[in-house]
Amino acid sequence: MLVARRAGPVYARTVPLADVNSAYTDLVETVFSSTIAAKAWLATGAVVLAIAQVLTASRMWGRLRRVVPLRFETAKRVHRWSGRVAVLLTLPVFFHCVTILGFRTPDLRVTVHAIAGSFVYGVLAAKLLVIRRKSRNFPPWTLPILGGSLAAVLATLWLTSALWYFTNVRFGF
Amino acid sequence: MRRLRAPVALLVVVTLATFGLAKWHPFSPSAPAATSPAGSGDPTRGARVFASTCAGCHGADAQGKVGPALRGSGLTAEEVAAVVASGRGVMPAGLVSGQQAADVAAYVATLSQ
Repeated sequence: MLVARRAGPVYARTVPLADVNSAYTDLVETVFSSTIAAKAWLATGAVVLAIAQVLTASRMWGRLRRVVPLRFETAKRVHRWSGRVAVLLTLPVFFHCVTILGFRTPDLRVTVHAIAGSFVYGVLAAKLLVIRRKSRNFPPWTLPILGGSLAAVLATLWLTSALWYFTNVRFGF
Repeated sequence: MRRLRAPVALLVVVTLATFGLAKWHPFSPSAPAATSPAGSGDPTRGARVFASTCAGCHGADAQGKVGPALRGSGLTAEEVAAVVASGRGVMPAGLVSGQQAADVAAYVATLSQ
C-alpha cells in the first residue's frame, strides 16, 4: 500500500496486486460456477441471517413474543451469532465488489447497489459503537434505528444484486 | 444530540473509506498483468467457461438474452478479452480472468465470425 502510494496509481495497477483477482476467482470457483454466483449466494445467506437478526432483536425489545417464542437470553445469543456469521458472509462479497469491481454507475440498479454498498460497513460500525459504549446513554431509539437501517441496506443490496442474478441470469450455484 | 456525534462520525468515516476504496479498486483486472494474451486461448476450454459463466446473460448459444448476442458479432479475441477485463455496461469487469479469460475470448471469437 505504502509502495503503491509513493509510486502512484500506475504501479499499484500493474504489479502483482492484479493477480489477486485471478487468485480470488480460482478460489471461489472451487465451489461456485462464477464469482457472481458466489456473491449472490453469500449475500442470500447474509440476508437470511439479517432477517433472524430483526426477529431476535424484536424479541429482545419485547415485541413479536408469539412469532419468536424464545427466552431473552436465547434470543440474545442467536442475535449475536447470526450477526457474526452474517458479517463473515459479507466479507468475500465486500472484497470482490469494492477492491475488484469498484464503484460503477452504468444503470440505476448498479448505481443504487454501489451507493447502498458504500454505507453498509459504516452503519455496522456505528451500531457496534453504540452497543459497546452503552454507558454513554445514547437515546433509546439509536440502536433500533441503526439495526433497522443495517437490515434495510442489506435488503437493498440483495434486491439489486442476488435477486437480479437469480431472476435474470440463472438460479444455481 | 452531542452524544450521537461519535457514531455519526464513525458512520461517515467508514462510508467514505469504503467509497474511496471502491473508487480506487486496487485489484481491478484492468491491470495489464491480470490478462493473458488473447491469442493464447483454447476455444475448447473456453466453451466450458462460457457455459458456466457467460451463457446466463448471453444465452447458451450466444444468441443473446439479458446481454447482447455474440454469435456473428464480428468481435475479435482481443476485443472480447478487453471487454471481459474491463467490463461494459452492466457487465462487471473480471468475471473471468487470466487463462480462463483468454480461453473464453478465443471461443467467442470463433462464434463471432
